[in-house]
Amino acid sequence: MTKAGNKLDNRRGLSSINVGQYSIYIVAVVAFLFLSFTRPNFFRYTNIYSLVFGLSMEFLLVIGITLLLIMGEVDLSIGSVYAFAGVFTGMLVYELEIPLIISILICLIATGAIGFINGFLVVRFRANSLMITIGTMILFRGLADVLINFLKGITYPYEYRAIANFKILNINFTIFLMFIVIVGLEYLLVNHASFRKLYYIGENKLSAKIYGVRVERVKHTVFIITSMTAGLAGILGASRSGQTVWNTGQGLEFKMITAAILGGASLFGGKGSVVKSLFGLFLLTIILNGLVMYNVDPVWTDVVVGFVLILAIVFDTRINREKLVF
Amino acid sequence: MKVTMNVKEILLRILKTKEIVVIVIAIIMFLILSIGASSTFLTITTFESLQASIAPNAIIAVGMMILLISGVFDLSVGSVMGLSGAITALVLSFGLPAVPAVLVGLGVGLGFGFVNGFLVAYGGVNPLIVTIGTLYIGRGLVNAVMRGELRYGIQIKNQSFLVLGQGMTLGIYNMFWIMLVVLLLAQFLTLKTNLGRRLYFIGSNYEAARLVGVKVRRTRLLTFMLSGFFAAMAGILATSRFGISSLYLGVNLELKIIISCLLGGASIAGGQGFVAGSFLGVVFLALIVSIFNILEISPYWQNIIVGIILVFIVSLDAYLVTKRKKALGAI
Repeated sequence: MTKAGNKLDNRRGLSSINVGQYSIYIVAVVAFLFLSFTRPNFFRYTNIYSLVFGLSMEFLLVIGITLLLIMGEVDLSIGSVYAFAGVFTGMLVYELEIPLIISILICLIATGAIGFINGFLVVRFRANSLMITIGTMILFRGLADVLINFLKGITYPYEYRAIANFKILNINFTIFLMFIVIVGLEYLLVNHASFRKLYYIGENKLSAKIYGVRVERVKHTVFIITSMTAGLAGILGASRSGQTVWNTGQGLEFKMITAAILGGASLFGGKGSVVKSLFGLFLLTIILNGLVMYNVDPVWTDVVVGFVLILAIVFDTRINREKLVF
Repeated sequence: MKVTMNVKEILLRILKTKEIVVIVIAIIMFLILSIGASSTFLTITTFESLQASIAPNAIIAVGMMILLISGVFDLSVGSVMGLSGAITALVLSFGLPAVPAVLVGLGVGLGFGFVNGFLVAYGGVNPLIVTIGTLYIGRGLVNAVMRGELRYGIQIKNQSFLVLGQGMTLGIYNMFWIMLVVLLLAQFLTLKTNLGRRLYFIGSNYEAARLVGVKVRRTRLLTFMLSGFFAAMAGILATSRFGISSLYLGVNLELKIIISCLLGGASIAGGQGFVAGSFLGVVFLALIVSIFNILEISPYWQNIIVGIILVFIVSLDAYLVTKRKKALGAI
């Protein structure tokens, strides 16, 4: 009974325009069709496959951001953690010659520790998660740069490079992973009590607390999960590129936030869905791909991303007027 | 009445201790540098380069401090600085005289400030995300302006423009004088005028200020435009100082400016801080950087240390705010 009631509540914010709920799907499909019909190179198996493959690396990041946004928090350090995790695992495997599996485990524990620190500071000191994670963003970008500088431009060992290329039925396993995780998580977020807690916290932290949700603990856990998924994505990304790359994952955090907000998540908390966020990311990816297809000078990419981010946030604010803080 | 007095006293005391700590550490660092590295640090060139590196940052920090006092901040300042520097250099390279070129550069800053301020004040959008968006747009535009051959910088030969950043009066750089004027003016405005006091009011309680009849939206728009204006001014001065526009002018500067302001007594929550404190923070950070350089620490480690300082300061700030709120019985 309560579950059904809350589900309705959750939708009410958008119910003024019912189409609004599906707008991200519509916009993404329209953009996809537009590019397919206007650019002959777009709708090719290789192009689409590489887009989906890229998406299957980045979806892990958007999951973390979406879960945090549902609770009204943000983690800006994921781009740096992404870079750090890739090169850190590379160093463990290449320089210290630790077996791959153990290296990955060590790396995941390390990234979990980063999330623990972020979460601890945000939860215990009630610090602004944006500012704290900007701090850890610079910090771990610096550490990643130190490691890259130490390793120089190396190519990672074969076994490390092979992870991202592991295929099932001639399709990269990460694509299967993406569909399974996204669908599973979406099901849990809609139906499972312990995942509904995230929405309660985002809607109203105080009342969630009064009703016995352990707000601090849940937040802390999600911060750790976010960092670990970012780390996993970083390992996969480094495995795909196969070598140390400067500026890996730079600006990734803003891309993910833009994607999640495009997909209906809100900075004010209480809303969001991983499927829609994935579609937001898909839309952003094909917009960037479309710029390449139309031979737009790459210097404009940043301008476009910034513009889309501002547009998305303006719409977000318009829809969420009643929760306005500023 | 009595209660508010007490609160004010407590606030002032907290402020004072926070700033005094910074002053003391800065003096200690200065002494260590003077004694430990006297041959490299205590030279005229060091002081000249310190002046030149402090002046643009301090001017931006004034704008940022005013925003922080009123409870918001602006992450686009670094991009605006770079863009206005690049555009001013571009306009000069067309052969226009210095004055219109500088006006165009300042106009760029005002334009960005207007967009930021309008979206935040009248659109009610989160300032962090808006200014991150304009950060990207600004940086993208810098790359778009300086394309092809211009990538390596636009050389400036206009002497009357170069005087701004390279000329000296009474043995001190002109840009440093400009900075002092801006600083004193802003300090006077924020503390002694009605308009300035309103900033503190808005910062400590936006809703109450609005209900009392303060024109909160207009003030917010103006403060963002001021911040953009100062960022543009800093960009022009820095470009004039180098005599060449740079693709990398102002990259990652916004965080250093925010750190400086927090060190100088501001709070993310708003309602606190003095403009003079932002100058203190900038000097503090400049001293740290010169220590890094003397110890020959690589820029990556510098970033790590800056990140640690930011995390530390933000946590401390949040801790103090929570403590104050608890003392007031708000939580």
